[in-house]
Amino acid sequence: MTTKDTDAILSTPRSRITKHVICPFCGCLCDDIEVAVTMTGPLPRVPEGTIVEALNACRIGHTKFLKVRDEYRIYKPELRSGSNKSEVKQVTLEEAIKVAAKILTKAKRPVIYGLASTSNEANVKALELAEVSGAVVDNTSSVCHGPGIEAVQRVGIGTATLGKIKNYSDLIIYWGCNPVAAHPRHTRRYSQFIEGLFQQVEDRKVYHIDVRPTRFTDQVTNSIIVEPNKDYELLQAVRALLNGSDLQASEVAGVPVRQIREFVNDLKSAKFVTIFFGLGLTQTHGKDHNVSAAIDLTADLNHHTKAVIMPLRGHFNVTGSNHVSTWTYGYPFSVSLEQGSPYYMPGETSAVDVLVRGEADAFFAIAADPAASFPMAAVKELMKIPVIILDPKRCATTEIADVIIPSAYVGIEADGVQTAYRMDGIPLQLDKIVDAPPGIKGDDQILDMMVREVCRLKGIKRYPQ
Amino acid sequence: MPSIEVVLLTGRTRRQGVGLEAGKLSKIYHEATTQIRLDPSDLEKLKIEPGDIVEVTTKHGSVVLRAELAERASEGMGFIPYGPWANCVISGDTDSTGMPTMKGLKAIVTPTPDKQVLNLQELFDDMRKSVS
Repeated sequence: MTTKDTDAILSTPRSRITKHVICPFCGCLCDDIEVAVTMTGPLPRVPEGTIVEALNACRIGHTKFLKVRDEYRIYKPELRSGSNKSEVKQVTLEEAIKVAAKILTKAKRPVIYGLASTSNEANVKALELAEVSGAVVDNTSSVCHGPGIEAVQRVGIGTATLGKIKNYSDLIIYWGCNPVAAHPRHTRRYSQFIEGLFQQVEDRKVYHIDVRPTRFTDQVTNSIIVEPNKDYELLQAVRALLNGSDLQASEVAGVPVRQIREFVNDLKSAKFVTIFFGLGLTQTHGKDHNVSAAIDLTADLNHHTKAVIMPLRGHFNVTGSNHVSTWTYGYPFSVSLEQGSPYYMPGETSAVDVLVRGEADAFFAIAADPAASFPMAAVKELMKIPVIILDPKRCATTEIADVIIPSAYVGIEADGVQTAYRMDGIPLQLDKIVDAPPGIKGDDQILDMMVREVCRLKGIKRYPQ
Repeated sequence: MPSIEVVLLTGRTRRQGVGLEAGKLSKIYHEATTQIRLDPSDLEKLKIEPGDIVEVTTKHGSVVLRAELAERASEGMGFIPYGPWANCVISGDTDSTGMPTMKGLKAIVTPTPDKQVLNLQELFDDMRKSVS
């Protein structure tokens, strides 16, 4: 190698940096990630186009960016058979779509589920697929913040953008959640540790209300430990004191009344109260009623000060899946299209219930892993019926699936316009950072092919054949 | 063997989050989701050490897990990170909301040194046996 060659190698940029990338992990949609991708150059053992760094991302987001191409990535569609799905046949995308479309077409009550870790554009196509297939279509919010949405339908919601909360809120409550574990940058970007235009960090008071102390409890100014399954009682006790009633008890839900009084005084003396709530309210006894009570508390507080409430949404576009379903059918999740018109009845048309009752005869998971998130009773039902999965990576559901269709990572690899809604309902456009593996398409493109194939099989003249 | 009753919670941990992005079939995910976190006093009642094997049973099912220390004091509570193992002991009933009850269940924890934590494939094979 000549000196000239060495100079040429050293002067070659080893990686390109893309700034202001949106992290497609959780509902925070942090938009300050700086992603480094290798370029042609002398980086041994690292192929060109590999993500080698994701600056500013939390540990979970960082893992997502850097593990895009690993041993669990699926590069070819697969048809699986045998008692434990161990017989694998690799097929083309077109062949996999034909088999998947046939399964959906033959089924009497197919379920299309997931849609929270993909774009709004893919959601639009999935709903179209549900229409032409006559399916039940549900998104992951039914096992997440679904009960909270049911509460919003009952009592409404007073909310705000995360920017407004950052700039104004002086009392922030995290109820039934642990942002350190699930939304690691939430407090640093939107609440406790970010300087607002009109709010200093040191003047903020932060409460953590939960059934057990966690690492997050160490970083807040105040903590209330409530007995498991008794959030509803505590919420109503807070409302009672706030509205001028007295409590004839020494404690409610395991919380001394003296502590509840101090909490109420803090609420009344704050200028802008924000309640963030998590699955500690929706997955425990009372479910939607807990969230109703929390929203009612927010409404009551607005007689004394300014107050808003917001769910901490998990998957990066679970909020978008609710928006798309709502603007299309008027219902945010658990929609049945079997009768030709949308019908919504959580408990009847929700994925877990349809499965547990043994009614589903085909299941299509899109950007979701129901075998890792549904109760065993529902997973056992999945094992009895044909399962199709559309996902970039192997997961629990791929281990029980009959058809596996790999897709590009939305927000990292997927082509075209891809958008998602942040947890506060702000739509953001996700960029492509690197190319998808050869032959791998985005969810929206694959679902469009599925819609066309189902139309062809059913003789629906929706598109030119 | 001594056993105790706990209030069972399932939920997120950062390690479980890293594991699900590293891959649901990865070692990180398996280790993050096959544990029940208990208070030191509860480990003492069970006469076990962190890392010992226990069986967690609710009226919905049972699962074998590693017992680990809870990150903060929480006597009488057991915490299992979300995942296929936690789902073995939660209810399939959604109270007409679509949402299974995943927190606040009563559970019995019993030391079972002769049993092993199943990997995902073994867990699914076990479920398939009861399906067929």
